[in-house]
Amino acid sequence: MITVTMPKLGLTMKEGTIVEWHKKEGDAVQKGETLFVLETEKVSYEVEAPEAGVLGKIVAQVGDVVPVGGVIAYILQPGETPAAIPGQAGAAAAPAAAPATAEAPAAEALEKVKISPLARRIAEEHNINMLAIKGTGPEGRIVKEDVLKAIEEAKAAPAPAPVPAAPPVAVPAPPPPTVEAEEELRPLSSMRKVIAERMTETFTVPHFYLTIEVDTTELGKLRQALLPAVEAKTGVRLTVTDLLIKVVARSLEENPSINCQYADGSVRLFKRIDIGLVTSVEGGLIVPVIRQANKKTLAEISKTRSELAQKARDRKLVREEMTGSTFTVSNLGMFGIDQFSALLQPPESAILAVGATVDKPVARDGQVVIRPMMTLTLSIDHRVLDGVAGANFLQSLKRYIESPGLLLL
Amino acid sequence: MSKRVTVMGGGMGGYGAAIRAAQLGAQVVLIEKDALGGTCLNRGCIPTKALLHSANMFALMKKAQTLGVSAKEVSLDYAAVLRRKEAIVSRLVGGVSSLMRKNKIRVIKGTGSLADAQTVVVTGTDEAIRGDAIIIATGARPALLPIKGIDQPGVIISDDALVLPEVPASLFIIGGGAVGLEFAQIFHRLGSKVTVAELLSHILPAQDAEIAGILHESLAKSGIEIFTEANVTGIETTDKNERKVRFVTKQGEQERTVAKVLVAVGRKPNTEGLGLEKAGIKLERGRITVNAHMETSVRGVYAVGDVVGGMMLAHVAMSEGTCAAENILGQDSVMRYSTIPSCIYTSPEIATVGLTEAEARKEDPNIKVGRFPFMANGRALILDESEGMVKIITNRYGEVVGVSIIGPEATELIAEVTLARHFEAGMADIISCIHAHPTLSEVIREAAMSTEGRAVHI
Repeated sequence: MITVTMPKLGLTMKEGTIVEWHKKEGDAVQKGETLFVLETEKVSYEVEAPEAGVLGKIVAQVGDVVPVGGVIAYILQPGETPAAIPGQAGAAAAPAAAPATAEAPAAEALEKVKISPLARRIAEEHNINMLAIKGTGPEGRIVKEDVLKAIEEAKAAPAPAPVPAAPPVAVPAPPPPTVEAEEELRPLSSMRKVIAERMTETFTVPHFYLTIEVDTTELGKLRQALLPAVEAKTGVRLTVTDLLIKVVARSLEENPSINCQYADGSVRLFKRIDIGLVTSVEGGLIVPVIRQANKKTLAEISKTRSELAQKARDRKLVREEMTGSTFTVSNLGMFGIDQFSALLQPPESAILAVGATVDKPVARDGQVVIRPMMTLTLSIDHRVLDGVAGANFLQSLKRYIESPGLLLL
Repeated sequence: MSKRVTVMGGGMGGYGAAIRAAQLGAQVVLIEKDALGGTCLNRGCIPTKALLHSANMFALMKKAQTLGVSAKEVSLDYAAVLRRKEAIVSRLVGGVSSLMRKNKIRVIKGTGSLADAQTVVVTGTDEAIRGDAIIIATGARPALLPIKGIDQPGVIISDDALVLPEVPASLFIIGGGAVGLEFAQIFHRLGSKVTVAELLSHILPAQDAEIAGILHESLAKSGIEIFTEANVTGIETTDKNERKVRFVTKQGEQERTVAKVLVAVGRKPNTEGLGLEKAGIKLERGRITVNAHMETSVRGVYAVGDVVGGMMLAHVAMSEGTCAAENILGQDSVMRYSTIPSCIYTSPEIATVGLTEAEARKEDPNIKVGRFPFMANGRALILDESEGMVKIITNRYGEVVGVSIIGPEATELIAEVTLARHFEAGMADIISCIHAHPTLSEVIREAAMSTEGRAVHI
């Protein structure tokens, strides 16, 4: 059995709050799959399953504050029974060998949960998940008080609000601002508040910018060539952004050091390449994430990007579709911006700002020629990355953009 | 290095704490001025029940005829009754002594007084015992009332009642609580003419009024005179060396002339001369205040048992002592008082756990009450003890909110519902659990069934 505990994400981290579970008790989990999202004062972080198995028991529920090292969940490994879980006569399912009987193990788990008869009756009456209650009775048994508390908490918990681009951070209430004539004071939307928080947070990160110009002649040709095929296959118009995501993903594979996060005294290197794409929506920005972009075909990227963008506009993105990106791309090219520098998306350590493709005179073989040029600006967290690493990454981007045929290699 | 714990008082709370602390690896010193075992073993639970058993046997023999047994010339040898009681007490006290030895607890005979929050000084030898923690378990003593003539000879407290050389011809008991009524029962059965005067509206004021009413009726029927709302105003000694007790009831002023007057009006925590003020330990209404971990207002100083007030019962003291010792030795132990049974050894016996009907109704007006009389229980009829009933209070969840039993072996029967309440088993569980027949315990199940209107035998 694997005990999942609160990781220490930073030197100063003492506790973390569970903000979201991606799995429920009884679910089979793969190693590396996201189990839950936790939030510290600084960051939100996806915790992955350390091993494959069955999520036997969730000890810490959404909203619970767990000290570093505190037990959050137990993962049962093949052959293990829920009886192995401490403080638990039994829990959750056997390995999902027989999906057809998925309901049965759950029922069995409920049978075996260590709970007083009275507490069980009340929990059943109020439709409270007994497996999710922490027992405070003798030997950790769930007693009436625990169930009544769970009922109260269920009542008190607000209906799930539309999920902002990042978990909101508590801000101390500022003194009420004064409003002069000819001014209007509008409260910030919750999304705007989160953006304000997060962008302010960016300035705690020492960062710098690297800019490069790339010639998009070949990329443009490739796009034109692939447009009908991709459209036929997916119904989506292939965009420059789609091609850039492909290029970025490939370049990250070649420059894995860029795909990282600073984490108080350590650097977290990601093996997965999940690319966030800054998407403008009414009243703000949302960053949906294209997962495993390096493993997706161009058509798949295009389709995913299109679907996520539509969901973003419809405000239908769920939290897991906009958290956990390892690198972000922000493209203002379509708005005619030649060049800009983007603010980092903490805790990420790099973001690529893409400007418009503009025909410019450039020197080629001693001749001035007109070429479609695009400016790419990379923002970098200098705590973990240096100029050369960023330069190598940008060179890699340039190479793939100017010779997209290399993507086939 | 092991922790050093000093325990003041060798009663149930004190020796319980000492043993638990020793089990958990502490070096323990226990200071007791008198005999080990405290009130319970020496002046309370044990000697009273020993006397009561003799008294009950005597009563049973006298009514043997009703069971078809002829027992002629049944008589009482009170000196032998006392000897038997003493033998039981000294055996148990000896048992505690050997437990102290076995657990390597140093027992000091004397009175301890706190010099500061770590040090207890033994009065007399002036030995200063310094430790990491102190547990105060100095108990309580019978309280007295400011009644005119209370200091007359022949006015006694429960300690004295246990060592009277002979059964008094007549006994007036001030106080209709558990102690007063148990002595009323004992001496009545031993042959005294007994009168009980209770100040409040019913005897056993803390108990369910309905249950107390049944006992009142039963005791009265057996020949014990009981007055409620009776205010004793004065005691005088007559020329014949008898006590004339004056008291006022709704019927006006009355008096009874008796051999002895027993004052049984509650118990007062022993907090004097302990140096509590020196250590800065807070008291409230004469009791040491403690938190749920049994720690006083001063860190490292704990108090358990009667000295903290509340339910002054031996099993509570023992439990509190264990709790204190565990907390001192690094565990996290919390006292829970919601499932403590309480027993009164009258005939019929009374035993309760949880809330009374009135208390329960205050919390939740929608409680349900199940009753079952011993009259409808086969075993009770066989025992010729069919007086009494079981009363179960439950709520919408079927929880065991409170149980009062009055009847044969009530003090044993309470264990089942105490466990049920502790475990949070409800009516449905008690009902679905098969009880052996013919036993008294069937009344519990039937009473539970009656909360759902489905009792079988009534």
